[in-house]
Amino acid sequence: MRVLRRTGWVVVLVLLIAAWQLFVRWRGIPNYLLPAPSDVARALVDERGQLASAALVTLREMLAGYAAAVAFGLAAAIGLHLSDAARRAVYPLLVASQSVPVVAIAPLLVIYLGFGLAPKVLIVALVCFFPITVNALDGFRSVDPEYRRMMRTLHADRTAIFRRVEFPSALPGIFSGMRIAASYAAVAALFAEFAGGQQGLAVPMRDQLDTPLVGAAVVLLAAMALALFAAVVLLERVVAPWTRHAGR
Amino acid sequence: MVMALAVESTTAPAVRMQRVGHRYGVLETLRDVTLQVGPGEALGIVGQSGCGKSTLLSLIAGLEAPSTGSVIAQPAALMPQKDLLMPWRSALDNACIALQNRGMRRSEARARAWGLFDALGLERFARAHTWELSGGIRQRVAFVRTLLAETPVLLLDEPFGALDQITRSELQDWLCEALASEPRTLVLVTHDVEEALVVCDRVLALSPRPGTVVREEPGRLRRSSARLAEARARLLEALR
Repeated sequence: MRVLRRTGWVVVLVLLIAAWQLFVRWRGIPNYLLPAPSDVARALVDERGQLASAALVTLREMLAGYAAAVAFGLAAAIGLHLSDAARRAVYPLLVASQSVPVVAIAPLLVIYLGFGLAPKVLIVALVCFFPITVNALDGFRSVDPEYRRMMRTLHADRTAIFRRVEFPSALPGIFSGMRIAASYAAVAALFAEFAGGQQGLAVPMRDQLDTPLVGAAVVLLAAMALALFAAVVLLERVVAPWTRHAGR
Repeated sequence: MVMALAVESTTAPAVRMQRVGHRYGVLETLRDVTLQVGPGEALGIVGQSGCGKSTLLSLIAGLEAPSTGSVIAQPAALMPQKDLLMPWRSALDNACIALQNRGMRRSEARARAWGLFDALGLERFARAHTWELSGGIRQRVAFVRTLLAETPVLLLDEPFGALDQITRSELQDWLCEALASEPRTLVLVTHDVEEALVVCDRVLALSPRPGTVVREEPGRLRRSSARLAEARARLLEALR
């Protein structure tokens, strides 16, 4: 039963793929409209060289942008938490910044920064930092105030309270934001490549008629997103093992 | 006005409150409270929920200022009702936190805490995760953490309130033994009149809000003794 709970998603995935395969073959849907999973699998094998090098480029952009988002998102949250003045002045602007469509400014970033790695990293970071900042800030602020009261009588200054109580206490929230951001990172990297790039998984996707190849690129992108998400989950288990024992 | 005594004196009281009043906005929590706690003395404070007992501890700890009157107290460490053990630290590291807050290296703080764990029968729980500990052990660790603040005064805010009666009795005895080996001035706030009469040298009853002292009884009474029953009856009568 426990094995089924843990691998249930694999069963669902296999059933979905089987249904998709049967649907395409049974209805005789042409390849250019909807490729069968077997066609996508064939493209993955046949074009593995091109896809692997493209995926590596996208992976590098995704990881660099994600790392920048985590660093900036956390730094922003810490700064906003420790300074009431900064929070009042900057937080509304950060929220407002999320209403600026990255699609509108991406070409400008390419013009400013060129066609290299920098604009892609920046675009991924812009898309990903916000959930990290908001969740971390909420985590810092939602600490039971009794902790702060007690710590003040145990010789703690502001730094000690932050370091020994607020930060570790906010880790579940921080990782929650990091998981949300991880699910955005792959698509953000792809979007950045569409905005201006000659490499990465966006390249095979541009040929809309070769649908098995597009499907293969999507599969790789999804696998990368899933892998990053799983890595964050694993990191949380190592860094904050107590979160699994919450409520005991 | 809250002041910490800079110079400890054997004759000066560890805590002195004079005609203290306190308000949260329009809500008057304490009125005209005058009390003293001598060095090494254990004072119990009993009263109904919301009568200002916890506020009184906050005033002594310097976490809040009185609206009227004055509070003069030696440095005090607070043990809240919830144990507030941090799940990201082991039991021993939780106990160390005040030492680390004062700048002591972790290894040194652990060595100091280990000594108390050993003396108070907690050594086998030192490396345990907090979620592995029972309610009673968690409260003992929380008390050691308060002791390791090394302040002259300890403020205990209903520390055993969430425990069952048997564990509670065990912990009361354990607390008395711990205080015998690590003497401090103690202010214990509790709903449990009997607990205050057993653990403390003296017990004050606070009236319902706004809290004011309505009765004082001597403590350190034996459980199930006639004197304890009489003192308990008098305090409960005063609290009505």
